Amino acid sequence: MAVAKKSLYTGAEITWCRLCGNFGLMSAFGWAVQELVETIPYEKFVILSGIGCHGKIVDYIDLNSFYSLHGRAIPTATGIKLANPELKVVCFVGDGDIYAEGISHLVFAAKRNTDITVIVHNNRAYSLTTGQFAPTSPSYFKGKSTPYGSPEDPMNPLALMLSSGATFVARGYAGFTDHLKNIIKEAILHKGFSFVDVLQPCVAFYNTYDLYNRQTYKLEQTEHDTSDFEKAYAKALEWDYNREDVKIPIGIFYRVEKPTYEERT
Amino acid sequence: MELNIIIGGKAGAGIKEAGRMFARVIANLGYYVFVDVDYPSLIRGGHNFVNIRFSDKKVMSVKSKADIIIATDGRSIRAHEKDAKEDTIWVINEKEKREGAIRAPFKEVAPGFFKSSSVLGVLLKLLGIPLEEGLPLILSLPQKEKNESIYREAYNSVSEVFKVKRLNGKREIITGSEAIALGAVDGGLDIYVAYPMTPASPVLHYLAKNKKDLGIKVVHPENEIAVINMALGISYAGKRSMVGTSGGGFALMTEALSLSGMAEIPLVIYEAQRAGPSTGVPTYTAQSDLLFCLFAGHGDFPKIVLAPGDAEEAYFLSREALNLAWKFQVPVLLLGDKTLAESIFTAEINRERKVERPKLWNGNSDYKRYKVTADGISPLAFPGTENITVKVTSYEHDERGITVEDALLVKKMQDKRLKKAETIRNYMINEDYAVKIEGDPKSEKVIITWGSNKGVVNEVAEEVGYKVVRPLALEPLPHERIKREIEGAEKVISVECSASDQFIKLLNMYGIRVDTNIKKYDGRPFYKDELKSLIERS
Repeated sequence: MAVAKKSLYTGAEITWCRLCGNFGLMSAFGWAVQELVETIPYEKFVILSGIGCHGKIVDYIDLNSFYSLHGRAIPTATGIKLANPELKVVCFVGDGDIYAEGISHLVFAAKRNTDITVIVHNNRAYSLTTGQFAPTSPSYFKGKSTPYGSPEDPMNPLALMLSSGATFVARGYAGFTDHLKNIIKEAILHKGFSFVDVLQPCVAFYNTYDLYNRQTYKLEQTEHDTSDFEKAYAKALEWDYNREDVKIPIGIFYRVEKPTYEERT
Repeated sequence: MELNIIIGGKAGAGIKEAGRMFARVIANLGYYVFVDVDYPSLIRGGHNFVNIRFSDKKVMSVKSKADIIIATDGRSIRAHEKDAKEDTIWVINEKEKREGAIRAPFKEVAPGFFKSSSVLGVLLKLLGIPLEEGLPLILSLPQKEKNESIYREAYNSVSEVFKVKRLNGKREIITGSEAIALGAVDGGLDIYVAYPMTPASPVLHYLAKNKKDLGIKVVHPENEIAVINMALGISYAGKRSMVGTSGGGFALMTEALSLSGMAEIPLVIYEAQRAGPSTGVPTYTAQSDLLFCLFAGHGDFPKIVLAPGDAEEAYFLSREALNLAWKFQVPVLLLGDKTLAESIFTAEINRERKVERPKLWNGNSDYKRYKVTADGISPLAFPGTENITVKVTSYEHDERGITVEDALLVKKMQDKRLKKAETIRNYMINEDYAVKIEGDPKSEKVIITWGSNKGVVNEVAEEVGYKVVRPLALEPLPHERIKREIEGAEKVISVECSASDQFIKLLNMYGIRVDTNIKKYDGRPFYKDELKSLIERS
């Protein structure tokens, strides 16, 4: 029997820029939820966010939510899941938010295999704070705090997550909404810690639509084996976030089952 | 009969354990006992000691001068010369020399418990307590046969000096930390979250060890920031959480403390003070986080700060803190210190579960997490409830929990939280426990103090005829009641463990003036003889 669908929109005024990558991401998530409610009722979802442009998503989506602090959505989500394991807990976080301010929590959530989903709105810039460089910005990115380019090279979050023990590691692209929807569905259904780095163009401070449209390719159209850690790690290293001249794999890199933190606590 | 005993030795040599076992034995014989534990921040070596005072009358403090000094190594002899009186009885290790000292075999076959067995044997014999009184404790130790033979040998190596007789009845002992842990459990604690930090860690250790029997979960996350945010997630999902830390850890938590205020999420924070600033003197005591705790968190939001004075109050206020946090949906700070946390108190704690039902959504209307109500308290509901969404947020928000920046709405929601602050204030100031009046209630001379100074201040006040006024609620402070209690007093002395007179500053904020202040800030608690002479000279 089909479940009665409700609108997932709260009616709050949406203040993202026209063509912002957040729209694609929010649509992909919304569709994923509308498909998942056949088995997971709306009230079992809890969404969280950190602080940044991405964070507004919890104001827009009419699901249980916790608009957390900058970098802190993940420990809050861990607490929610510990208190009520029946809930499906999804963290929306930003790249500055979780690869800088809250990176310890990201590493530990992966290490614990806590049964939550982390979706990173990775626009590779600080945008709500009007354009500074972020942990995944290329070194040639000229931000307001690094007007001559950054003295640091970008980090590789997928490699970090794999080495931290994440049991589900994926990369999506906000421009390929249907593909992203499928990744998000799989991530939510995964038992254990699921991580999705979403390439998300920022039309105001780092417009990468052309780059991602040109360079991304889908892993599921290759012979990639998602149960092989070595292969997943090699795929994660395929694209250096500092380069624009290599192909960028998107899709599910790695997926295995292990006991969760909640089961072991 | 009253004796003050110091037992000294290397860290890791079982000195603390010896103190704990002796306290157990002497309480079993019907005596009141108080144990102050003095140890440095290291695992092996250095110098540790326990200061034990017991009596047939109530004791709640120790003295600086000892009747018996047990020095299990050479360093302890030198360290405690200053604590000796002319007639102090010295017991030293058989390998050491000191004129007039009794020599005993303090054996350490392996680090730890073996030395404690020999100390207990020597001490019980000196006091004329039958060997059998200590035996059950010795037999509960690991490697009991070895411990027993060491205990017996030590017992037989010295002669009786005192005759401590069994009194009627038996007393119970407990540390402040154990009392806090049990109080929280009886206040409905579901999950305790903490990152290790002295002197808050004993609560973590106790709850972790006993979590299965107590029916709770215990989590040790990556850092204090994770601790408090995790706890807020737990409370949001409808389970009772509590965190524990000391000053430095609490400093890391303050951003999320403010989130607790804004998002109106119940939370209990146990802050065990130690001597600061910064890393400070980690295993020593202080009351110098008082103003930090009262003013912690950016922005305007209500919170409650409670300060227990001993193990009984620690149990009661810990339980109360859980209920208040949920009653008012605010952060509640339970402000203790190293003295409260680690001292052994004589206390009979009658455990009783008390979990008050918070204000819950009745299910009859649309759910608004931040519904404006007459008392400022919005009904709670939790995620997972059918047909509603529960939205909480760190941003200023409307009644549904959606971000707002509009001037009228910003003020409206701030007013809602101010209303709640008023509700809390009206409730707290009328609670009987908010201010305790002790000592000689009719005296014209008053000591005003707070926290773990309770025991020593009350003991001295009773001897020198002072009234003691001691708030247990520091925020909101029941200042009218305090003023009434000290009105017309011929002399008001404050007693605190802070170098910069933090307690006086708090009192002054409300126009409460004191004539003299007595303060101590060397990391050690006030000793009874010391405080008595300071008050007599003041």
